Amino acid sequence: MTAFGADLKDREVPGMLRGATAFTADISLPRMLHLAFVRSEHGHARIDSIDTAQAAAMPGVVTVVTQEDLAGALMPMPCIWIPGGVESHFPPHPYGVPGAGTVLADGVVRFIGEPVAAVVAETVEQADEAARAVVVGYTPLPAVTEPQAALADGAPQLHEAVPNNLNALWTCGNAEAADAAIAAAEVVVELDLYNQRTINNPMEPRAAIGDYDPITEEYTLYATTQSPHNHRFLLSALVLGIPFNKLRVIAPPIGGSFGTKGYLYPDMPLVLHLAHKLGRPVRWADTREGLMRSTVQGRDHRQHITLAGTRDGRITGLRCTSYANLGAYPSTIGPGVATALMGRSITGPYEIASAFCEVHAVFTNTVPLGAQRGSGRAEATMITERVIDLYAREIGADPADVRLRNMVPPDRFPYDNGLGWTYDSGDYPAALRRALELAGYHKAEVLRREARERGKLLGIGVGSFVAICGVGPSTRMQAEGMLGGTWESANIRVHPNGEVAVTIGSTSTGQSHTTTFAQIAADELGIDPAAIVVTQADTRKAPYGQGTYGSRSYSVGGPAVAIAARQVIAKMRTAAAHFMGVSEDLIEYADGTFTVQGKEDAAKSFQDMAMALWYGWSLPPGMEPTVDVTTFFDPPDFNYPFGSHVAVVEIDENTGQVEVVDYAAVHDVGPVGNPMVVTGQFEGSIVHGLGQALMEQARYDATGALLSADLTTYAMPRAHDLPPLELDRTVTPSPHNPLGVKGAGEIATVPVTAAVANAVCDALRELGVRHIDMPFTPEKIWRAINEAKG
Amino acid sequence: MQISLMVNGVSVETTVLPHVLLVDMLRDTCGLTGAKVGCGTGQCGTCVVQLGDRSVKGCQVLAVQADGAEVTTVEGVANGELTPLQQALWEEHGVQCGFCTPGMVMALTDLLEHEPAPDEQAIRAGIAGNMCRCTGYGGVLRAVRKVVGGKP
Amino acid sequence: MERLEYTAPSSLDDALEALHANPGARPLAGGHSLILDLKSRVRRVPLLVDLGRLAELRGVRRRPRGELEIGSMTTITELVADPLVRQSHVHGLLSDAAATLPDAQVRNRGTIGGAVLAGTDVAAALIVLDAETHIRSRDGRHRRISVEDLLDPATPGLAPDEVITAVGVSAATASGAHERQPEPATLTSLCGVAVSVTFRADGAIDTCKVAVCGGRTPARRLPALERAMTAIPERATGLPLDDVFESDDVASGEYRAHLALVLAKRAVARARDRAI
Ligand SMILES: Cc1cc2nc3c(=O)[nH]c(=O)nc-3n(C[C@H](O)[C@H](O)[C@H](O)COP(=O)(O)OP(=O)(O)OC[C@H]3O[C@@H](n4cnc5c(N)ncnc54)[C@H](O)[C@@H]3O)c2cc1C
Ligand code: FES
Ligand code: FES
Repeated sequence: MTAFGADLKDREVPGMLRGATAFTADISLPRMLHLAFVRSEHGHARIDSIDTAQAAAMPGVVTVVTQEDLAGALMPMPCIWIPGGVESHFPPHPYGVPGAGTVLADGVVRFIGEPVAAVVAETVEQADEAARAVVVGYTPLPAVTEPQAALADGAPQLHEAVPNNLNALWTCGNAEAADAAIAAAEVVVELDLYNQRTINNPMEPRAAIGDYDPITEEYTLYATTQSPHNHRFLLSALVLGIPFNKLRVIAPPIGGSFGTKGYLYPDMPLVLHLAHKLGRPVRWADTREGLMRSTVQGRDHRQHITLAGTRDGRITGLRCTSYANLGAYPSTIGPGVATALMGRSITGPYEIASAFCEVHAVFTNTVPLGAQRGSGRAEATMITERVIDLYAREIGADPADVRLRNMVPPDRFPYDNGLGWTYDSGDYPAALRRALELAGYHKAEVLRREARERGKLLGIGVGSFVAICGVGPSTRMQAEGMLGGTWESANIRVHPNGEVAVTIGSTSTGQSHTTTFAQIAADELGIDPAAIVVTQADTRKAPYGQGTYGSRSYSVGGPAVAIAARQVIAKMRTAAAHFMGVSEDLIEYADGTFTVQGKEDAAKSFQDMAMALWYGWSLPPGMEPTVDVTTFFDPPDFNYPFGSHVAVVEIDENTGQVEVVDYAAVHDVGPVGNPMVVTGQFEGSIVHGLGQALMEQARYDATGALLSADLTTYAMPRAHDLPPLELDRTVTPSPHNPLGVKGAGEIATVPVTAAVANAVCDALRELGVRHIDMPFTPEKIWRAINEAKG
Repeated sequence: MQISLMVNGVSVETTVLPHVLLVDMLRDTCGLTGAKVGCGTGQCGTCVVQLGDRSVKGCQVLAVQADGAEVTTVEGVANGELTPLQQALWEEHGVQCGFCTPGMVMALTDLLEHEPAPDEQAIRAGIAGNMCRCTGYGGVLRAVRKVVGGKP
Repeated sequence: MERLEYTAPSSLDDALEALHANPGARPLAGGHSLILDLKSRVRRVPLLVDLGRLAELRGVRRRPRGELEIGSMTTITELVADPLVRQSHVHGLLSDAAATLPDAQVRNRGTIGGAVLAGTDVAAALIVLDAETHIRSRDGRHRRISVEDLLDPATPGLAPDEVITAVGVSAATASGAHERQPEPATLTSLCGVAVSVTFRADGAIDTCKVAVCGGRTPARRLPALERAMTAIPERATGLPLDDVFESDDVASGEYRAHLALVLAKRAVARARDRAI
């Protein structure tokens, strides 16, 4: 039986197609109250007064709270991924851990959506109306929205505990060696690039419902969280100060996340606290506008890079300086994402002898920064892939050839990139060659001429990448500044009739976990996936787990399932040998049956063994009845999926409109458990990347007001934006887990902006345009063309 | 204001304030939470339901405007079995997180009812008002192609 | 959304009476711009007078002299599917313009009356078709005014108690087309250009009407562009269009003006193809 590798249909989907799937905001508990936030209208301001009297008197209003009411009841939220190995500064937390700000604003607001007060009422509408009636007196303070400006002398200061708004200056690599390579280089190419801020915008806005049972004194949180266990720990220990035993966290089905729902947000402790205080469940459900002002945003690095190379196309050194805009507060894992995931990744799939990267992680008056699909790695890939193109042009070489020339050769693994990552396995040039072939790269000049005849400028661009995934080895992550373990777990319980229950610690946000994990278990157990149920996302039901982020569910949680299944079979094998009276090494297990070599008639099925272990009669001496296995998998190292994309764009010279007319993408994520699901992840990731390349941007004005604050002002790709996609895979297993699998959920976003940017700049090259920053909106392109033409 | 309408074939008599949106009435009064409110400004299409014989954005219509009308939500589309469209969306993995799905199903059901053989451009135009952040639309488009022409 | 009153009269007279009797009351057509305004609270309306039950305002009729009379409550979807419209020379231009509305759901609710007042692509198309609005108010009063004049900021627009009952399009034989460049968030037009062109026997352009939309200013004719298109469209460059469009968050006026010229040329070329 081979369930692994089959295109099994996602078992959750029929419910979704019928509208029967209850997302957090669809849940209604008896006597439930509704919470609405009063959010800051300023990027930076002192709060002089909060008048809640009128709101409190409005119909249906149960309570109005401000930070004053929470002092003593709720601690500030913590930050758990800090820049590793360097001095860093955070807002305070009473336990001395890095703080991430108070639940409601404490005297000062530092970004446009910061919650200042919360209203609880009988209905959503009553809560909203009352929230409008809360009168907040502000004295606006000077704001700063850009990291370099925030570091300058005399810049507005956000946090007392953070001098000059600098969270950390983080570095990796060898600065002297990189500088020496640059000083000695035949060719030096420099580039400034702004990787603009984006808003992830999963289609489901966040929501949270708090419930409290006065009899058992237990709190329950239903929330859009990718990390129920982790949030249970952080909320109980570091925010609410209640026993771990008294908090249960449930993540109902989640409507997409892409990196935004792995964070602690003020609503989570608040609905729990208020449910306790008011003796009724309290629900909060965000709106799109609320999401855009308060859910973590992505990217936002201002980078400068210097590449050193030889005339004949060998890259000898790379030095990158990046200013990461962390927003007003550190998000739960934002500072780590912005530093390590970006900085250590700048050498990409290339062998570069001397490299160095520094990241200035800076607080500004903007919405806190978090992860966005491919975070860190996408920003690194973008700038490196751009500068490689410029280098190729400078020496008159083909950009694809320069890449092939510098890629880590397949015989060099494990490969230490000199910045902290040790790439596991792969054939990087093979993936690039395949992508070039799919895109018809060699025909570029013919295509270009053809397009010219139609009045279009055609460009072709490559983006090659390797992306650290499978976060991660716990001790290694400790060194990276992660304040917590990053292992994953699984439990397998075999029922008397041979059906199986698998529970996993990670939580799906649309990645079909209950199907794909069943496939892993089915394959290992030799049974039909239909006999397996998979449970996740409830801290009472599922074993400990760390959650879904950093492309880790399948490559860290998947192996946990496989190992647990192997232990199930090992136990059954021992028992089967005992029952059949042979030594264990004579037993073979295949297709759900234990057989003995040479004894055709002796056989025990998986179901037989399940039943036997359930009864527990005459088991081998010392063996416990039943099969119930829990495993924890802490990988020895990360895994490193890789690949190459090739984008072909056509630009209408008259209007500046960019159209992606062809797109080829080749990935290597090791063996694939469910190709249909993985293809879906690739396609979604690519279109997400196209969104950033072509249209998405979170824009702030100088006061910190968000100008793109709803979907009428923030564009996202629609069906007509999907280019013809040609996908292929190569398969190189990772040695770092028993399945050989690598992360696949976000990696296809990583090289998209680079491929498109390279294609756009290629198209405009003949006009003399060197570089344009994203997003490639028509007017921007039109202006660049005009300027180039003089 | 007193209104009466048919929702998924069942007659509903209810009192509703004039400013209440159709999608909110369906979710809060009728308990039909299939339709979502993904944006509230008309861009995302998660709120799409059928009003009369056409799909509309439930966040842009007042409940009172539906007085006397027939409304179908995603809960009322399948008649026991999944429809061929729903089945194809399942088979082609046109659904990942499922949040956009109710709106997609309603918009596409409308499209296929009025234009049984749409070409590629018409299929894409048919979901121009439905955003999906997960699938990149690939699986959705394959599903519709399959329903229309037998091939994804 | 703030609370408000609502009435859905079953006769036009009742609707007109309700509008007259209640200061601040507004007619509700498809609601696709009004409800958005109410939600964002940029506008307060104490009473909505829903025109949705007035069957007399729906559908397309042909008048004795060939004029098409389009009931103001006809939805955009109904308009482009209507057999009379489909058979008429205006179909190409009107379907181009209708297709600019972002999606089927908006077209299914948005009405032609609302579209005229929205002053965007559909209005631009109606302007080059010399369309006229039929307007009623209390006590049987009525007037007709061209779409162009109705949208002209220099003329007094619709009075609060007036209702557009229909839009009349005369039976001309010009060939029309509409081109536009959408903005990616809402898919509204950064710039839209409608043309209506007559050709001489030798293929040269005889007359050319051009109306543009984009940005805050409502659709309007652009004589400079009309003159340029009537001369030799391909050669038209550097027209004095600089102050025609405003700049906003989405695009500069300069870019819009540039687009107007590019799109006008394309629209004329399409109109020529259609004329053959
Ligand atoms: C998601 C979304 C996207 C949109 N995108 C676009 C777009 O890309 N391009 C575009 O042009 N428009 C767009 N619109 C706006 C909308 O389609 C138009 O504004 C629509 O034509 C308005 O028509 P309506 O029938 O909905 O008018 P309503 O919203 O009902 O009314 C609009 C205004 O006109 C008045 N009015 C309406 N009919 C009459 C009448 N017969 N007599 C007197 N007064 C009347 C109303 O009182 C109100 O003041 C969009 C709307 C939505 C919801
Ligand atoms: S909620 Fe209606 S379109 Fe987004
Ligand atoms: S499946 Fe998640 S938004 Fe479409």
